[in-house]
Amino acid sequence: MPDKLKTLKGKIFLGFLLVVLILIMVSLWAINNFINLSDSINNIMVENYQSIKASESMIESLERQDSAMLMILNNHNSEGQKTFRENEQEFLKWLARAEDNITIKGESNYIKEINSNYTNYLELFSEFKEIESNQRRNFYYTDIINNFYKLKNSIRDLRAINQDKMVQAQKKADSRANRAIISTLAISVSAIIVALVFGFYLSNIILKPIKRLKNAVQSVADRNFNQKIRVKSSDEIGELASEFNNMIERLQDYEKLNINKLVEERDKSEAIVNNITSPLLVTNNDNKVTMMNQKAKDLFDITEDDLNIHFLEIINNEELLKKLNNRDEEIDQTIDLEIKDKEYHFKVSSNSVFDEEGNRKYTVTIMEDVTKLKEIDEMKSDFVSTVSHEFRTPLTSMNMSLNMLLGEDVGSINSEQKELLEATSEDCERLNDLVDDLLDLSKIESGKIKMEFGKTNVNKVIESTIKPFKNQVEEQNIELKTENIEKDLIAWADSNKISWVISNLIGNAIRYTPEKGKILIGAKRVGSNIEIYVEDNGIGISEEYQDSIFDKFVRANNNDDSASGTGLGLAISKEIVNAHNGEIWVDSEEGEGSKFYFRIPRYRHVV
Amino acid sequence: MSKILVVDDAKNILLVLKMSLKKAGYEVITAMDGITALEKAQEEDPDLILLDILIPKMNGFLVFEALKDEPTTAETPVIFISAKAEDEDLEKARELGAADFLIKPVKQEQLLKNIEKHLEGGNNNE
Repeated sequence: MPDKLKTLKGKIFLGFLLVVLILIMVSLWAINNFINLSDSINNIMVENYQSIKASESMIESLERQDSAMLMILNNHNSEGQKTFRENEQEFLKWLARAEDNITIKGESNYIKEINSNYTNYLELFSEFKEIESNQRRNFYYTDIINNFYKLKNSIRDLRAINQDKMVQAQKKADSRANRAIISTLAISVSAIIVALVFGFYLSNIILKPIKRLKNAVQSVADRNFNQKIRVKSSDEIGELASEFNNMIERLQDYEKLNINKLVEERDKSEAIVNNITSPLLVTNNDNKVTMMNQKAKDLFDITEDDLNIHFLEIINNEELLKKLNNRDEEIDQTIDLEIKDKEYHFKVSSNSVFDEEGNRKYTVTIMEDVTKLKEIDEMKSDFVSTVSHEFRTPLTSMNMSLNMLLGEDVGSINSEQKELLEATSEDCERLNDLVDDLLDLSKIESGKIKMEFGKTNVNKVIESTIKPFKNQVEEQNIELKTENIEKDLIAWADSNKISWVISNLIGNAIRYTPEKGKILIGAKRVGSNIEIYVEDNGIGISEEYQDSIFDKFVRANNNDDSASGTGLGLAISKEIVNAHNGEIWVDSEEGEGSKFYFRIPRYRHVV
Repeated sequence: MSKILVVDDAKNILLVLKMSLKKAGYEVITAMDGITALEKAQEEDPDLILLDILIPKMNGFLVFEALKDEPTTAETPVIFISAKAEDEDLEKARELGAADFLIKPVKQEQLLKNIEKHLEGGNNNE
């Protein structure tokens, strides 16, 4: 195939050329048929119609000649002779024409017969003219009329033969026309079929590869990049297909690159997750475990096969599930697990990922093993306890010695000696307090101090707690009073411990409030709790300390020498309030004063 | 003059207590471990015993029980004086029938007040 015909354009052009050729063929055939038909009609006209017309004219002129004879018979001699001569000319003219137009077999015989008969007739006419007029009538009726009929009959025969021939020719023309119709029809139909077949073939040629291309594009759209089109043709579609294949190759490369990147990222994340030394697990919104690192698998003794199963089915621990789904920061997020007969403590912290509508998609939970920390904490408590005990014995002897010296039981002392001993005694007292507080705190922290919960009248507790401070505040010229205390505040609490907390808060307030200051104590119901506050207009607490003052040994405004607390009071208060499931906090502005609040549960909301 | 036996393994405590009690007008004898304490109690028959719990050879509770078994000291009031003062220790002291339990550090006035109280209620050796 030449190059031009390989293109789609060439193919279409070729197809149309074929159709045009067929059309031309059909046209030529039709024209040919028309010519044939016209020939047939012409033949009839030329061959038969001329002869028939000649025959008719001959008969007519013969009749006239006969009439001329009758004219002569009726004594119109000259007129008759003239008419005869005229019609003789006419007759001979038509006869000549008939002779010129011999087309049918046997026609010449009739012409010859007519010729001889007419010659005969003319001879008879000559005789007719010669004989006597009285005998003419007889001659006419005997000889001439016979000859006349004979001649007329022979002309009629000629006419008849030509008429027959004409009918035949017409029939022939008819059948030719029929043939022409049929053949034209046949050729047209076959041309249409050829055109249709070609059209179908052409559309196939064009559409098949386009269809293949379309399917391939579709499957690429479905991210199936292994689809390639087999290119057969070298036309425009072939080019398109090969360009498409190139594109797919590039897409494959791109995808491969992307997948490699993704795989790399995934491997990286997996490596990170598996390297996290704490157990890590991912749960979805239905609490199914979708991912775990090796530590978590080891911890719960599960395999990869157990993934995508509900949390409780693989890790039967409702408490843990509750904690990892917990959004309330107040709740203690540590959990004790017994694994292989060993007690472990974990700190559970979880983070959730939400979709655009705010629904939780999945939660990543890390369980920090704080067993060691807890052990260390316990060791620390034990240590503090032991050390504190060991402190007590020497403190006792020091205290008593100082007391005896100061009491001058063992001899008199001078004023300077007294001053020194007093300073020593004061610090000895402070060491005592510190040891007491340390012991209390370590006891509360380690749970050794049991809370004795009961129905507690908060109004009474406040009243009895304030009493012992009366002398002290009077000395320091500080106003200490209650305000806004609601009636009949009944809490579910350990009244001694709560009294201790209030007393500690008042002690702090006094410590940090200058002379002529004011300390207010209030209490009210807040929901299911009772809120108690101790407010002062003392030196206040700077913002940076407000969170940490509840930690051990933190004392804000440490520069004040008169502050003689141990730094453990608020830590112990916090432990006590926490043991009540309550909370404690402070509102303060430096230089303006502080307001400490704590909440403990109301009696009827617990029992 | 009432006789008081002070049992403690800390020699400074012994010194201070001895001095303090002497000043207050008591006769004081001392022991630094459980065994010596029992021997001294038998020999001297004190009117009151101040007994530490954490002492060598024999702890305070065992000494207390042994004292109660001896007819000479069965009725002698015993005041525990200890830095170790957990709830269970206090409970145990109460069960055994100790006269009192003082937690170190002990203030001088408190100690003397207690001693006086138990001597009055205890025996009439004065």
